[in-house]
Amino acid sequence: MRRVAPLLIALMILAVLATLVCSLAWAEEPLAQADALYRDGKFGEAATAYREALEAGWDGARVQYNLANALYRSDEPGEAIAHYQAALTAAPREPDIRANLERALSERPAGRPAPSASWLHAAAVRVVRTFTLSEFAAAAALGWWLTLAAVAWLLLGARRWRVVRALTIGLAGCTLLLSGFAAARWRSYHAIDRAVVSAETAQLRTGPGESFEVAMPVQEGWMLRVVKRDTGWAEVIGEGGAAGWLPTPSLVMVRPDVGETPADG
Amino acid sequence: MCRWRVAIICAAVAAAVMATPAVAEVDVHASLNRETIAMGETVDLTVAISGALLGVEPPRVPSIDYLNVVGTSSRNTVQLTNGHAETTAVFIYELRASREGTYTIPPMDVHVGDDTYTTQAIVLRVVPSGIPSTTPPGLQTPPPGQPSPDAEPTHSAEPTREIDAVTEVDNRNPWVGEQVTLTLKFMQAPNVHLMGNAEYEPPSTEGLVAEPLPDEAQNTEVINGVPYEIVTRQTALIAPAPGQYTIGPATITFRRGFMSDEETIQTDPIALNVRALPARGRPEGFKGAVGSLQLAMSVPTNEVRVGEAASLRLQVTGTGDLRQLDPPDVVVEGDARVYQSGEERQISAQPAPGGSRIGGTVTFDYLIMPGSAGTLTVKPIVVHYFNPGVDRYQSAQTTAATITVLPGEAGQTIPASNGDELRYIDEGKLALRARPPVTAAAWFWVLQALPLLGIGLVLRERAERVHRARDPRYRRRVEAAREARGTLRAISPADHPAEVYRRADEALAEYIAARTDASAAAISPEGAHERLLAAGAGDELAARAEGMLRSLRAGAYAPGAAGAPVPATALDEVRALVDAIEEALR
Repeated sequence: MRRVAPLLIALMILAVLATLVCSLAWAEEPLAQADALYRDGKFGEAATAYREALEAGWDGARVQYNLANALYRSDEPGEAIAHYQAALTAAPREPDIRANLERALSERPAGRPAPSASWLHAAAVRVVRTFTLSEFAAAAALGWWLTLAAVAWLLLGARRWRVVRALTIGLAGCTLLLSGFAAARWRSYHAIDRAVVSAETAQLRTGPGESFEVAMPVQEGWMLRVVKRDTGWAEVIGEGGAAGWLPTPSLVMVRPDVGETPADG
Repeated sequence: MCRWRVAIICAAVAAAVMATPAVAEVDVHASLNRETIAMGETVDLTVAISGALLGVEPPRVPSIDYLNVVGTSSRNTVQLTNGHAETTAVFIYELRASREGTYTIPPMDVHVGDDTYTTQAIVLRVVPSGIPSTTPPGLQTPPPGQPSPDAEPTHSAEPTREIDAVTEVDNRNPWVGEQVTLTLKFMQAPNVHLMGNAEYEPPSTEGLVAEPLPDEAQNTEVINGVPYEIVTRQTALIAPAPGQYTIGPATITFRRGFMSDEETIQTDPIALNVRALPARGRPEGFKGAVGSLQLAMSVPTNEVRVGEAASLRLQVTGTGDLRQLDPPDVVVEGDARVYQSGEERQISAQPAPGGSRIGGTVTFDYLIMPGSAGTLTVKPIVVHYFNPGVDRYQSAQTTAATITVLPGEAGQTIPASNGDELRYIDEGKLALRARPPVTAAAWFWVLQALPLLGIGLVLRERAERVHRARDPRYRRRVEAAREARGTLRAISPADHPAEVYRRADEALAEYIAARTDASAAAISPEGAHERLLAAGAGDELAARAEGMLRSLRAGAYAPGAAGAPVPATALDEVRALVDAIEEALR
């Protein structure tokens, strides 16, 4: 009995390890297959495999980015742009994602979105799109804590009162700025439904139906915000402020429930 | 030397032109623009000689009784298709009959150089004036070798009953995509009155594209001396593929009176033989357009920057089923890509000399995305189409346009579209699963509330400090226990017992004095009792404090006296007493 006990323990440990390894291998399998299909140049099949992984809950930036690449290679640039954007929401400083998104945008009929006319607005947009909501929120929270600590110091009678007061005002300003960026990030990337036109051409209409007048034709890759949805139709505001209704089958949603992960995650 | 070169080139061109009719296949074809005319009307007899231009003699129209040539004209055309010159000589004779009846124009001899060609015989029907000619202008008799259409209408245009209906087509042998006009005539004699309106059920046109024409007309015509009320309704039919098609009978239902039975009139079915478009002369790039087309191109701006798009609009107008017109290819020379950005088709019945024709305008919009600075040249846009009016392929084209591309802001350029520049997929660096932002977690917001709690505590502490600074008695009272405990802690049990008792007595007396707002010097054991009672400490504690003070003072003066506590025990008891009083007076 004394000889069997260590053997049983060893077997149990091995079983646990094997289970862990198998579960990890199973977890990687959908992406491994999809990656292999992509490497073999079977982009359509790779896109299908990536989609299955996405449906199975593997919704990180890696799946979104690889799916976007496969769709782009399959000549579906509109849907590819939607997934590039979803990937960039999760990993905003990842240069590969941004480079491929820029490339896809530049090759769509409407070209790249026009830059902001105001340098201040352009700079703010650049900052907002560079960090995740979690990063902005964590920084703003730190600023909030430090600001209140400085206030407490002031209340309890700091010796160098003027210096501490200036520090407090500075910290409060930084916290407000960071909170503003966090709010802008939340509003731009989480609070609204974003979508991309996936049909080669679609008609922006003045109402939710074919009987309404055509406001303007839109092309694949056109990015827009979804304001409201009706049966089979979506009210949208697109680039340049153009508003109207589009049939939902011609749109691909930029996953509104997409989470975010640090780029090095 | 230069003159010699020019002379040689001219001679070569002349030889090529001279050689063209000699090697080209000559085709001679005669046709009437209408098969039936009324008395007093004229009809055009057209003799077309294709494949030849030089050495063609005008054909002579045979002499036919009661059919006279009242005018002649001719024209020559040269069309370049795929680098091949097609020449056509057309001679038109205007004929007028001086008597009703059916005339047969016999074959005519056409002399081209040393060769003689012969046209086919053609039948012309001349009806009394007042009966409309059944074949509108534009009807083409088939060329030799093609199945001959039925020259007679399926149902005579002359009514055989008081109420009658006929259907006719203007061409039984159309080309694929060519419009055939189906005409329904409902004829009603003047002495016939109907109960309500007649109901019309259109003929079946299975396999054909049908488009109602807005030419419904009502007029009176005298036929055989009887003025008939005639309602005419027309439909455009277009065959999408060659083959045999049948236009079914149209049905008209009516009642003559309230008590009379319902009567029905059915027209005869009509067979159509739709011909495939000829392979001969079909230009490369022909996409199936049939009709007569014109092109107009506009480029609103001739100067753009890299990163901006230049727009181009192409308008195709004309007759034919323009719904089937494919977007023409736009070729741009230079570093640019072209996208079609929109199209609009306005198709309707267009008024034409022979009746309404389907046609309209199709607008194609394009965007030209320059890739780098320089000059872009939009090459002439060409649309090939088959014109059934002249039975040949023709082309419409625009002129070229030039667009200047200036450098973009910050030298922006668009990456080339070769697939190798796409960054490769990620195989491990990025995360597999996304995490929701921290703002979605409740603990994050709870954490942010903690500093506010701290600020509250700080404010309370600050208020306490202010109170103590402003009210010394309050400060003495609230700090009494702390002071007493500090003093007691500073006393060492190892000191001389008398010293221990004395200092413990001072600490206790000072504590009771501070708590009861009195001077320490004035605190005697009895006074302490009274003051503690007055402060609400309770009789037991007051008695205990009095006893403790007596013991300590006795020990200070006689440390070895009986009843004096052990110093260490005394200190513990004083501490316990301070705690008990503090608790009682809180």
